[in-house]
Formats: sequence, C-alpha cells, structure tokens
Amino acid sequence: MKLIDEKTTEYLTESLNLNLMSEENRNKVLIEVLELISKRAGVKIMENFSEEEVAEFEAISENNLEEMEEFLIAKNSYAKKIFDEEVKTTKDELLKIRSKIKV
Amino acid sequence: MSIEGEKSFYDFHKERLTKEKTGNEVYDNSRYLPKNKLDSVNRNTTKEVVDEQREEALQNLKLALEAKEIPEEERMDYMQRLFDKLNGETNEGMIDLAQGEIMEDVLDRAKEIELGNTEIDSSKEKYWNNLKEEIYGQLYEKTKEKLEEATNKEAYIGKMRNNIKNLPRPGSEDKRFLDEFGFSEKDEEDQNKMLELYKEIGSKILDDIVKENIDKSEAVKIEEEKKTEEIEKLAEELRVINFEDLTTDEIEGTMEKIGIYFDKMKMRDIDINNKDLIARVSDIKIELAEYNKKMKRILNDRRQEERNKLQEVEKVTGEIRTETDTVAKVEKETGIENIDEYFKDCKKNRVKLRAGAGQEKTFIITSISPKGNTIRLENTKEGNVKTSNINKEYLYKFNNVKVDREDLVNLKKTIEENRSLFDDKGLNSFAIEGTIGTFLEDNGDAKDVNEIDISDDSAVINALEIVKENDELKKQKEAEMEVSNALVTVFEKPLESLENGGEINNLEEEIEKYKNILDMLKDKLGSYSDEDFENREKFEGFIEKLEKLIGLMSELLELKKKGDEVGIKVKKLEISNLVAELKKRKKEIEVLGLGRGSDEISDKTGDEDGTEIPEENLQEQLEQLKAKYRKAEEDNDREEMGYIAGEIRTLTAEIDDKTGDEGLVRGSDGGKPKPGGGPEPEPKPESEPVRFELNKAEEEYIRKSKEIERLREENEDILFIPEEDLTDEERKIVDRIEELEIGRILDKGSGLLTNHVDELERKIGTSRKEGILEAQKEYIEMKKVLIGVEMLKKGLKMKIERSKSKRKRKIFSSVGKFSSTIDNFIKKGERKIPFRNKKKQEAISGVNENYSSKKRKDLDSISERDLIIEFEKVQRDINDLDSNSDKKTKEIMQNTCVINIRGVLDDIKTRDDIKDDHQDFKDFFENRRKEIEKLPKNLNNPKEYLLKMFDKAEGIFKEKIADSEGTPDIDNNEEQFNNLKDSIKKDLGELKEEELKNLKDLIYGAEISRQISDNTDINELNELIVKLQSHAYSLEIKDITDWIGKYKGENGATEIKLKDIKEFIDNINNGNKK
Repeated sequence: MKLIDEKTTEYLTESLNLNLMSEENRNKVLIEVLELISKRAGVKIMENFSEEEVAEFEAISENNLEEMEEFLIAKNSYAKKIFDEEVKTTKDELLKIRSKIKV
Repeated sequence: MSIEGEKSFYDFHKERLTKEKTGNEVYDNSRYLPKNKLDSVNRNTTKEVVDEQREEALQNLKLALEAKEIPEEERMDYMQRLFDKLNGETNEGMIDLAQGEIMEDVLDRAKEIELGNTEIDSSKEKYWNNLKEEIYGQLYEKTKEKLEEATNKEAYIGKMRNNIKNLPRPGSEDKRFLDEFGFSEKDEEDQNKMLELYKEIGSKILDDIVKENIDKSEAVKIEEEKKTEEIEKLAEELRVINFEDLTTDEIEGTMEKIGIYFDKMKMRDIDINNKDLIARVSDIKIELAEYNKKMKRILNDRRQEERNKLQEVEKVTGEIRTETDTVAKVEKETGIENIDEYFKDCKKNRVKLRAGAGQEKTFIITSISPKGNTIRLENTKEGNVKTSNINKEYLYKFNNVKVDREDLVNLKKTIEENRSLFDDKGLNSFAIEGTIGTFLEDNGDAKDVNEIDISDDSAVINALEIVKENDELKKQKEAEMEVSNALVTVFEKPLESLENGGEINNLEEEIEKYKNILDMLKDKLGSYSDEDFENREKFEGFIEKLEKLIGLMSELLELKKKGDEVGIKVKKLEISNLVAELKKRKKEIEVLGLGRGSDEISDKTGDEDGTEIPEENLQEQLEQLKAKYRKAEEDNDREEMGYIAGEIRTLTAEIDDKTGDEGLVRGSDGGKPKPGGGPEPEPKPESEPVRFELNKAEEEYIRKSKEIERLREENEDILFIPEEDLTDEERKIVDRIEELEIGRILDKGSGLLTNHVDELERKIGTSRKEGILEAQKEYIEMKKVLIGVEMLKKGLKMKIERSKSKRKRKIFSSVGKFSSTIDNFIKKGERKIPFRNKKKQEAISGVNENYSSKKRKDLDSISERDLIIEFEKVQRDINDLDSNSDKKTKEIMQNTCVINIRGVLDDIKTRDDIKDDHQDFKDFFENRRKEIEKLPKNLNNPKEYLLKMFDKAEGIFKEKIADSEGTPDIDNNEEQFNNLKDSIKKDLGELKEEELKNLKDLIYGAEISRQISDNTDINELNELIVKLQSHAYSLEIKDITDWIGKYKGENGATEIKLKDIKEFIDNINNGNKK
C-alpha cells in the first residue's frame, strides 16, 4: 500500500482540472499540491508518534519516499485513511479558494 | 478454466520467472486476475461479477495446488499474491465468498487425501497447513481490525469466543457463517470439517490477539504509570514552593515544564478502563493548572509593576516612550544604579541661572530625565517651571564648582580674543575678565587640580560653559561634517532610477556597494560620542532607512530571480517611496553638515563662518562633475550620465542661490556668467518614465501589508505567546494578522493574474483577444491552484509556529522531509500520473467528425476559391486542438505548406510560364503530401481530407499544364531532358522484353504515336515517352511501371493484354489512376 498512489494523482488531476494543462505544468502543480497534502496529513499521522519513532523516521534516507510511506503506514494503521481524507479536504479548500480569485 | 486461454499455471510461472530475471516486466497478479475484471468488480458487485471473480480465484488456486512441477515455495508465493489481490481489490463480501470457496476446495483436497488418493503425497499436507496459515493471516487481520473499532474490546472478544464455541452445532439457527462460506448446502461431514477448521483457527486468532493486547496494554500501563509518577513528583515539588520567591526566569521555566508534562500526559491517551489512573492524572492536572494560573498572575503583576514604574519615569521626564522598556533597562542605559534615589538627590539641589541678560534666579531641580541630560526646574519665588538641557556633570559643577588655574587662564584668553561670544549671550566679558583676575590673585598658590572654587560667581561659571559648549559644537560640527560628507557617496549611483521604479543594472553589485557605504557610515557614527553628535538621531534614522533600503533591494533581487511580477512591482513601489524619504533626510542632514552653525559657532580665531563651502569650491565641484559627465558620455554609460546630470542640476541651483543669479551659471572657463548657460552638454534624465499603476488587487495587497506591519509593531509582545495562552482579545489580534497574511496572498495572486490579462490585452488588442485568452487559460488555471496552495501552506505554517507544543513543531519539521521528497518522485516519474486530456480527446473526436468521408465527397465539386478557404480552415482546426501538447502535429501542420497554398494556387492560376517550373510545383505537392501522411492516426479524417484537397489542387495544376500552349519545349532544357531520359532508361531497363512490348502496345493503345514500329529502338521509345509525358503530364513512367507490377501481381499474368492497357490509358485520361 502506498500513501500516494495512482488514484490520488488521478483524483487530484481530474478534480482540480489539471487536465487542461501541459504535462510539465500539470506535474509542477501536482508537486505543490501533494507537498501541501503531505505536510497536512503528515502532522496528523505522526501526531502520536513517540520520540523514538520520530527519530526513526528522520533516520530514513532522503528521497526514499516508499520507505517513508511504509514506515508511516506501519506505525499508524489509519495513515492511508488520514492521507486520503486530507486529499479530499485540501482539494475542496483549493476549489473554494479558486472560486474567490477573480481575473 | 485458466484465466489466460490455454496457458497453464506452470506456463505462467515460467514466463514470470523469465521476465523477473530479465527485468523486462514487473510481475503483476492482474495478469491472472485481469485488471478489467477487477475494475468491474469494484464498480459493480453484482452476483455475476462476484461469481466470475470467485471462479477465477478458484481455478488459480486449484492450479496452484496441483502444479507439483513448480517448486513449493513459488506456488505458495503465488497463492499469497492471489490472496493479496483478492483482499486488496474486492469488497468484503467478495473476500468472504472467495475464502469460502477456497476453503471448500481445500476441504475437497483434504478429502481426497483421506480417501487415500495415490497421487497425494506429504507435500499436499504442507499445502494444507500453508493454506491454513493463509486463512489465519486473513482472518487475523480482519478480526484485529474489528477489535480495534470495537468500543468494548473485552465484550467483543467474549462475543467472538461465544460464536466460535457455538459453531459446531449442526442445525443451529445461526446459519450466517455457513451461508457466508457457501457451506450450508454441503453435507454434514463437510460442514463439520469446515467448522472444525474455523474453530481451530478462530480460537487461535482470539488467543493470539488477546495475548498481544494484554502485552501491549501492560506496556502502556507501565509507561502511563511512569509518566503519572513523574507528574505527581512535579506537583509535590511545587506544593512547597512559594511562587512569589521565584525569579521571573524561574517562573517561566516552571510554567514551561508544566506545559511539557501536560503535553506528555494527555487524558485521551489513558486507557478508558483505567479509572484510577484517570482520576489521579485528572487531580494532578487540576492542581498543576492552578499553580500555572498562580504563576501567570505573579508574572502579570510583575510586568504591570514594571510598566507602572516606567510610566512614572515617563511622567517625570515628559517623554513618551513607545518601547516596552523596563525600569531596569532605563537604569542600564543611563548607568544610574537606582533611579528612584537619584531623583531624590536631584531635588535637594538648587541652581542659579540667568536667563539671557536678565537677573540671576534660583531654581530647584524637581526632576531629571533617565538619561540625566534633561532637567526640570522650578523657581521657588515665581513658580516658574522650565526645562533645560543640563548634563549630570554640569549639574554637579554648578553646585560645587572648582576649576584649575589653567582653566581660568584659558578662559581669560578666550574672552580677550572673542568677546562677542560672551557678550552675545548676555554676559559682560569685561566684568568676567575682572572677576577671573580676582580669582587668580586670591588663589595665587593654587596648583592642584580643581582647587579654585568659583561656585559663588555664576558669570564665570557660565562663561566657562559657553567655551565648553562652543568647543563641543565645533567638535560636533566636524563629526557631522565628516558623516554627511560620507553620505554624499551614498548617492553616487542612480537612486533616482530606483525612485522612479526603474531598473538598476547589476542589482547584486549595487546592494554590495550600499552595504559597504552603510558600514562606513556606522563606523563613523560609532566613533563619536553622543555629546559630539547633537543630530545623532537624524543620522541614525537615515542609517536605519538605508538598511531598510538594502533589505528591500535584496528582496527585489530574490523576486527577480523567482520572476514574481507582482512582487517586483510592489517592491519597486516600496523602494520608490523609501528612496524619496531617504533623499529628503539626506537633504536635511546635508543642511546640517554644510550650512548649520554659521551664526552660532565661532572658533577661537573669531571666524564667523568656518564651515560653509565657499562658492569657488562649488564651482570647482561643478567642473569636476562636468568632467565626470563627459567621461560617462564617452563610455556611453547612460545610467551614470543620468545620475551626474541630476547632481549638476542640484549644484547649479545651489550656486544660483549663492550668487543670486536666476538661470545664470558660470561657464567652464570660470569667467563671466553666460545667460541661459547650463552644464556642457545639457544632460537630460535618462530613466524612462515607468508605468506605475496598481490594480485593485495590488492596492489591496499593499493595504493589507501595511495593516500587518502596524499590527505586528503594536503587538510585538503577543506574537510570541503560544496560541493556547492568548487571551480572547489577543487571540483576535493574532487571528486578524493571520487572516490578513493569507488574504494578501490571494490579493497578490489576483493582482498577478489581472496584470497578466492586462498585458495580453495590451499586446494583442481586441481583434483576436478571445482566442488568445482561451489559449492562456491553462496559465490562469495553474496560477489559481498555486495561489490556493500558497495560502494553505501559509495557514498551516502559521498554525504550527503558533503552537505551544514543541513536539508538534518538531513533527512538522520531520514531515517536511517527507513532503520535499515528492518533488523528486514526480519528476522522476516513479509513480504514474494519468494524463487524460478529455478536452483534447473530445476536440480530436470533433475534428474527425467534421472531416468525415461524407465531407470529403463535397470536395469533388469544390471551387478553386473555396478550396483555398477550406485549406486554411482545416489547418486552423488541427492547430487549435493541438495548441497544448502535441508538438509533433503542430510541426507537421507548419511544414504542410497550407500557409502558402494560397500563393501557390494563385501562381498556378495566373502565371503563363508555369510550365517552366512544373518540376518545382510537382515537388511542392509531393513534399507536402509526405508531411501530411505523418499526421497521427487519431487525426485520420482530416488527414484524408487534406490529401484529397491536395489532389484537387494538383489537379488544377495539371489542368493548367495541359491547357498551356503546345508541347513543353523540353529540348531547350537539355539537362532536364537528359535526366528524365536516364530515369526512364533505368526504369525501362528493369522491364522484361515482354513488358517492353506491352509498353509499346500501351503507347499504341493511346493512339498518340502510331508511327512507332515494332523495331523502334529504346532511345526512340524514350523520347516518345518523354514527349507523351510532357504532353499529358499525368502519364508518368512510374504510373506505368506501378500499374504493370500491380497488374501482374493481381492477375498472376505473365503478359499484359492490349485491352487492359487500353483500359489503363482510359483510366489515366479520366483522372483515375487507381
């Protein structure tokens, strides 16, 4: 299981209308959105981690996304659920903000 | 049934292993359980689909059980994957059903074992056991999950145990279990077997889970107990402490410690059943909260006390202090150890002062400023109140004034040299001189320092003060001059450009230079004492602004790097405002440095004005500037020229002021003034006026920025208070700042987009506005999402930063590592991001529909004029739908000549000499056709349409050639003729004799050249064909040979019959080569 899977990117791509964009721009936006979601969800997932667990997480080498995901899922059985909920919440909030931007 | 046709499980494994070894394909179970079917299960859980799924699962499992030729480990691996797949992809009911079926199959196999099937060996037992393990794994997870959800875990376990216990009762009313597993219809033996197995596994699972939970809860209990003991210990320590005795630091430390314990021991984390612990922790927390409250109150009281003290200080000094200074801070600043005592001492003092030339009066000192340099005096008789700038040292001296003999001698000398210095201040210089003589005489033996007491004569004291003051002013003047001269260099570079919102080249270098200037100014200012610098505050204010300017320039540089257009615009506006202010301040300071003091300060030599720069010097400076201007002009340094021009104008105006000339300046020869003369040459400002308008969103952004700045300044102290400790009022302020912070991101973004659209409108006018704006939609949509992301990120960051919990902040920092990794994985494409440009797909489908075969038929009767229009239309349609991503299509369309088809068709229509370039035209059509053939398959209809249009266009061309007068005079073009002959020879050379004969027949058939005899040699034939080809155009050697090849291929014929040739010729003549 992965926190960020194809369904996540597909859901965000479609619900935020990223399909309108070129691949390059779409990826750029997705990176930003996923970074935000990861931060928001990450704080919740790790909320009850012990000091040792936080240290253990920090010890995972940089750029090893899968290992980080595996760790989070192993330590919090609701990690995926929390992450998916955050995807939806963030998407809704982004759409709400977008509606406020007038050009 | 196997999932993929006739392939056996063994085949699958072989294939998988091979692929895994070669790394060509990642193993995927969906090959066994096809993705499309799994998808359909997800979408639709009808019974049929479930049945289908179950059937597949069973088949695969059976294969796995029987495939003894596969190593056992691999088979089990496969089964594990199968289970994972089932578990991961189907709904819960589906899993249960599948498991039921699997179980059934397992039982069948077990039965076979029991019956003594000869094929069964010990490995089957292993499968049995392994399978039990699989089931164990599945059911274990499921049970654990349900247990976690259960509010009363013990009750749940009890219920489960009861269920299991009741299972073996055949005929029980509870048939749910057997129904679920599809066993209700089985014979009793099977049912019992199934129940027995489930009972065994189920009981084990429950035992394991209970054991695990007990272990876990024990560990948690121990940990909770430990934490509770710690917190109790803390409470115990605090019980005996009198918080009033603690220092502020100690109180703050203790409060922080309580906060940490509160975070550490959350009520919600305690096991709900551990009522004793809950009660204990709750009590301690209430107790600690009480202590916390007490300490907070003490802190508040102390702070209030300090504030009151400070207000007292402010009251007596008359100064309004905006800083949140404490009395201690004032004491530290002034060096006064006990300010209250100091005031008391001051009040005892009495001073005698003479106001101007008036009578000397006695005043009582009623208060003194914290720094000790401002004094409040009260005249006892008249009740006069006045303030005076008297420093502590002076105050002391005035009441107990003793001086050296040398001081008096020097004073006398100064009086003799510059009487007006004293007389102008209301003193009688001659009288003082006499008094000094008396003092010197009366104290003729005095040699020690400060031995002569002059307290009784305030005139002498005042005279000494005047000398001192004059010396100080001179010293101060010199210092200020030096600093103000240094200031001039600040503006060596074009700040004017910045003020106008223009550009500065090499911003980075400029920032560095400004920093150096700043350091220099600070150094100079730091090298003088307060007394030397009456205008220190002004200089410091200037330096502060300069620091801010450097900060803004650095921010501008960053924004430029990021390409943040609105940010740049806003920053330039800020810089512009600041520079205007800086220039104003600079002028003030320059006035201080250059002009001040001429009527106040006299040095001992009696010069009336030793500081003002004489006009000659200004002229000299002007000449230097002109030389600089000429140099800049030679170097073509327009920026420098603009700057010097400004300097020249300023200096010229200054000289005008001195000479009283209006519009006259001296020439470079220093001779007589020239009317209307200006610097040579007359420079003009170089910086272009910059459009400096803000749209509404930008204005809002600036308004919010200012409000944020104001709120931050006013509430600096509360911004560092953890969110949890804020009062309602404070919380409102913090919320307001947060709201503004986030709101201005929206304004900034909106401003940017408005600018973007404005810019587009400006560039493109209104003619094609809609089309281009549509093309920019992507940009705007993208920005909108990014603005949202920025807002939410900011919100999250602020929330975390304001959180009291260090732990939360720590976690947030760790999470940053996780989120920043996403960048890489998307860039590297490690996870697939679907690209379904529905809009584009729809557009493609629309275009294909527009250019259907039906529409192609319409081309049969299209006019030349309409054909051209049609060419442009189809190209536009294709280009439009491809504006985003398919660069290849765009390139093809650009190469397809549609752009210049109008010109070509016009040429064909109008030129009489078209035959001269017929080869070029042919190439033109051929090349374009090749390009069009490259269009992607999904654009097949427009492709065919374009090809047909080219046929039409070429048809017009051929028609024109055919209509041209006479046979092309190709003999005159020997080279072309020879090339053509060579080509034909080559083609003909490959023909067999029979084919050649047929070709001749063909030509006969065309009845164009009946004079050709059977004996016609190849050369004659070639010539004839060339003529024929030129005349009819459409009859090419390639056409003929192609046709021959096709004819032979299709008919299997060895020769071509004359009637066929005739038919071919007829077809050619009818324009149908096919």
